[in-house]
Amino acid sequence: MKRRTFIGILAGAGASLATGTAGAAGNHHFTGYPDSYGVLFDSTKCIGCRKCEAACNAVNELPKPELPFDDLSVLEKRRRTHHDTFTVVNKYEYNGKPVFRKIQCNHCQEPACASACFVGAFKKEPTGAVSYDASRCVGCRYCMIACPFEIPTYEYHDPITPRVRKCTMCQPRILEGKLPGCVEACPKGALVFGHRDELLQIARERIRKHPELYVNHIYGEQEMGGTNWLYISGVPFEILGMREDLGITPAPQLTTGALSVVPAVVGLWPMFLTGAYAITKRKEKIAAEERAHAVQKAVAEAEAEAAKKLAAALEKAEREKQAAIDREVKKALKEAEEARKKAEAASEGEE
Amino acid sequence: MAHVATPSKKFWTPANIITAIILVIGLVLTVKRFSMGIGAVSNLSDDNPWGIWIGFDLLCGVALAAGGYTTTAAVYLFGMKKYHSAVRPAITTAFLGYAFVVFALLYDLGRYYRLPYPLTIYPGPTSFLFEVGLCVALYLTVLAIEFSPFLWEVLGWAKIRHLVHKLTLALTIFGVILSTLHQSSLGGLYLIAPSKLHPLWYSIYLPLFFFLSSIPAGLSMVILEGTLSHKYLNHKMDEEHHHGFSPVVLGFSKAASVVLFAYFCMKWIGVAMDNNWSHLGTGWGLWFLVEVLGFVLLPCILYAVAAREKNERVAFYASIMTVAGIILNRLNVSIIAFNWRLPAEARYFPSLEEFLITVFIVTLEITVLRICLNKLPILHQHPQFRDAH
Amino acid sequence: MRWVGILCLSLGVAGFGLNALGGKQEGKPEPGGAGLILIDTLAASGKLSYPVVRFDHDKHTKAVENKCDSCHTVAEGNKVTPLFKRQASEDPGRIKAIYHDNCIGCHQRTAQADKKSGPQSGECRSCHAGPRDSVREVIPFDKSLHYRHASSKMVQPAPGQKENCSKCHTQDTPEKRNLIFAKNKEEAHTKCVSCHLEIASTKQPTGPVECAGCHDAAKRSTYKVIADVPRLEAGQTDAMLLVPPAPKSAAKDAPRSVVPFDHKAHEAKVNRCSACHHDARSKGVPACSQCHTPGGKEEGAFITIEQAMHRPMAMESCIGCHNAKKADPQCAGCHEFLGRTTKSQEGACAKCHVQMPLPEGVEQNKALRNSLAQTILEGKPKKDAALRLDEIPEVVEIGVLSKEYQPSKFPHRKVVKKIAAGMENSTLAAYFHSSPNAMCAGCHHNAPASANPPACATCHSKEFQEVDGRKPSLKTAYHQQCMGCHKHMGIQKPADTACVECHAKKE
Repeated sequence: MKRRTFIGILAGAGASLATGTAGAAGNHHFTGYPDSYGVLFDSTKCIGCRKCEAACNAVNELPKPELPFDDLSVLEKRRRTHHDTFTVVNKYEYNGKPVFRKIQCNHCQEPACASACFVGAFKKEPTGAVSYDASRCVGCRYCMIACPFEIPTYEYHDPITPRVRKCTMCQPRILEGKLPGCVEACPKGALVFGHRDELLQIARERIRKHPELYVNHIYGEQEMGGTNWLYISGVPFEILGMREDLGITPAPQLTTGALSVVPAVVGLWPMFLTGAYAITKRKEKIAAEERAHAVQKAVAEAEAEAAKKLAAALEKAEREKQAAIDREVKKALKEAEEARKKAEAASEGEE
Repeated sequence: MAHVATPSKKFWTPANIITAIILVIGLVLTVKRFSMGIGAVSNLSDDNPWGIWIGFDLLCGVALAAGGYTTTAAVYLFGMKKYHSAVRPAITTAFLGYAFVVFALLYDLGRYYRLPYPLTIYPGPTSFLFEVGLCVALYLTVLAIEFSPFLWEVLGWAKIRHLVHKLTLALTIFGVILSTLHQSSLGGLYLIAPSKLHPLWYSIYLPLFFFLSSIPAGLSMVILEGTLSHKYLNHKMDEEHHHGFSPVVLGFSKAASVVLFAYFCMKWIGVAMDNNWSHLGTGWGLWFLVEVLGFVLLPCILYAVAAREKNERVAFYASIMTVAGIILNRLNVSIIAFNWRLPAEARYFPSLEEFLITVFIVTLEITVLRICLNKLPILHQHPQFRDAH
Repeated sequence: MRWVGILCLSLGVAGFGLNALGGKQEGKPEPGGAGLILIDTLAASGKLSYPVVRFDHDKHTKAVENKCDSCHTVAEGNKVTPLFKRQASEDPGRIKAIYHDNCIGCHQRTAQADKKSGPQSGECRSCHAGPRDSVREVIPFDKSLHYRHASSKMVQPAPGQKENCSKCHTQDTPEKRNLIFAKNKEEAHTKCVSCHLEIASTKQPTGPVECAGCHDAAKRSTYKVIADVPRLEAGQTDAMLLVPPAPKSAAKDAPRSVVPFDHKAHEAKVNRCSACHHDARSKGVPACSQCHTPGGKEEGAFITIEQAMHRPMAMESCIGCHNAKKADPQCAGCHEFLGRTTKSQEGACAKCHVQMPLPEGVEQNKALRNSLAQTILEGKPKKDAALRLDEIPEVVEIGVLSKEYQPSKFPHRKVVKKIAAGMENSTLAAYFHSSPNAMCAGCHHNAPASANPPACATCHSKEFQEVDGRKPSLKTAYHQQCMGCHKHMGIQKPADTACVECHAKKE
């Protein structure tokens, strides 16, 4: 049984978790479902036309934005995903030339959001998508804290049923055999849909064939344990506003170590604390015994002292009595002697 | 902040008037929050999903309610009988603290009515938040049971009170376990975001930092509240509470000083562990030093001085500094040093309404605390139940 | 309580100190000017106990008012020795003393004369400041500069000679040409600077004597450039036949794969002889095969003759240089797309290599070889084959996006004309585009070149489904082709994102 399951049981969640769901957020390295899909974004081909944004908006039935999608003035500002915008294209400058990057959920192999969600609302699907189940969501927004790519967004203005919103990789469409909306709409082939391992091959091929065109790095191959959305680019990824310092540790591994201490604390603390209590108790007991002993000793000593005093007093009394008798006897003898002498003297005088 | 006021014949004292105003404003904003959504009253955004409702109400609320487990552990497990007078106020503060943390959480949760989900139908045990929720829920139950005798005493239900009394030891041990776990897991929440939290605050030791610092936080709250209630609620106290408080202050000062020192050392081990020394030369490093030297080392020394020189006034100041330091640390981790890379315009600052709701919750808590202290046998023992714990 | 006060105080102090630290941003320092010299003469004789010296030569030249002999020995005939205060290399101790005595001595004297001066004794690290980048770069002595020197009336031929080459190419004789100008940096500086100084002393306009004059690109860009430089007459041939060694097993009269090379045409295309004769340190103007043997040898860095000719990324090789040419706007439209470094197209080898039996004795006879090459080259086309413009469709309607837009009207003929115009006078294009259909293949790729290429949809699926991620869908294929070509040819309009410029709006 897994340690985490143990905690789950503690919560009264008796059922042990299916390996599938725990897989992508569990505490062993998960290398993705075989044959999972992904999308390869090639920044060298992107022209920043926002067709993907328009398609995403239509496919997900999101509210229409104020400015139409063919208004490219919005590219002058840095934008991010919002509850009504699952994908945005941003423009960056490199050597005076514009370069573009599309932002959307990267569909991590081991998603931080799924690991952070305490009701399991996020799930890594066999299709490669990271899905979200609004019927479980409590709305704590810890997924947004956890996501290293800052993707999930929230419906802050819905009082009763707010949802976390993010790109779904168009999983419903994939299951129907269609392409994700953005991929289908891209006029330049900057987005390629396919199996992730296939996409990695394509990306490597392009980099190998055109070393003068590409930076030798596939973003998403290793980042945060790997993502199903991959990027290749002709400029350093930092220029495209993509963090290159995220490391290759999958998010769930950031917390496994600390979480594994939990059962240990549950197991060990009672022992220590009961021990402490026992020591305290024992101390108290010893103290009480010592006290009783001391009292006894004191009483005994006091009694002995009293007895000694009595004996002495009695002796003294005895001695005084004896002395008085002696005195009286002596006195009587003396008187008798004197009387005898007197009598003798008197008798001599008569002669 | 309303002061705990002396009861008088007059109800409308200035303190009560201020309290009433805050409560009215709070109720209005509560209606707004629950009818128009979180966005209507807060500055929370997609970049900053957690604000002061989590950073202050939850993180600080839980840390400052740590007096419950520290005091009960000291008295019942480590046999420090002379601190017995501190137990009842500490349990009260902790219970109310946790109750209001949960109350405040309802404001921050998008679907507050599903709060029991993780503990009932959809457990997500891979999450640190799951652990927080589980332990807080259990500990709140423990605290409620520990707090209940004060009610039973007033009601005169001797039997049930006696039953609870029998459970003291088990409850205390359970309370310490649960507190250890969730105090530390509040720090653990941020382990998953190394790319967002400034390296000086991010450390694999975050759970340990939070747990360690919660101990002096709890002790300091006991000292702080005790000192204040001695000032204002003298007439409510019996002999034990009245005269038993000085040893509590000095003993707790000593303990707080020791733990603060350990915490201080651990903070530096955390910096050394990830070799973050170079960050000390930046503005962030300066801020970190302010926190660690000014609000950890300084109160640590003040406490040591107070314990050595038997100076309760210094202890009182030290407790204020410690509490301020804990609040500063929690806000640093959750708000100030979080998302530190974001450009200035994307950084979070609470809205006035958000702030007022927090003030409202704190005021409400203090009001309830005042009522409890006035009506329940907390600062004195119930004449019928002179128990020898 | 005293301790508390002390702690508070030190906190405050630490705060201010750290704040000052925190405000400093560590960045890369600006590179020094072209006059920056790093003096590390002693590095050769063991580990340095101090960092190398940063020395700003131009600053000092100004300070001593261009009097070279303040620091350098000037030998007879105004020859400036590039060494500092010495004629030849000395032992390390001596050199150290020479530098310290002279530099510091001069600084002290200047300071005593109440003038601005450099560091003196005790200020070691002001000079020993360690390495630093500079904007200095080796001067590309191109054809224009060469012509300006060669044609200058100030550079007179040596007595008894017609040409003035030997003025600079000192080992040059009319019988044996020599590319080499100087063995090393010191000799080069001695030659250039001495000559410039000499001319300057006669109050004639002359070349630069300060570092920046030659070594600073910005400064150099202000100099006059001669656009049409007459061909340099140095006895080189117009055409030559490159004969790779015959395989051992081959029969004696088997056809050989030879390359007729138009030396004259290439001279006009490169900026200086060393573009191909890139390391002419050996005597004369060496043939490639002198260092690049079939097996490779040390002088040629073990690069074989095959690699020397075909390395795709090396600018000294035939293929490398030609690949770079493909990046020119008028070529890049097709060639960037076809791939600059990808596998060579079919029949590409035959563009240069001619299979022919070699007549007897040609291999040993250079003159015979050269005339043979000339003959072959004259048979090559000088102009691109004329396109039958009337045979190609004028407008092609593309209806792939007809759901959203009206069909796109592609001005096919206009585009072909435009591309053809770019190759109008290019002998390179004429030489390599062997058939008129070669140009069609620029867009109609991956099919045999023909006047009736298959429709794009034959291979590219109309469904917006990538077939295997490698073959784009029809929509992508069109867009990549059109936009890619526009981008590489530097055509700004229509913008990639201006959909309605090509696809008229549907009413």
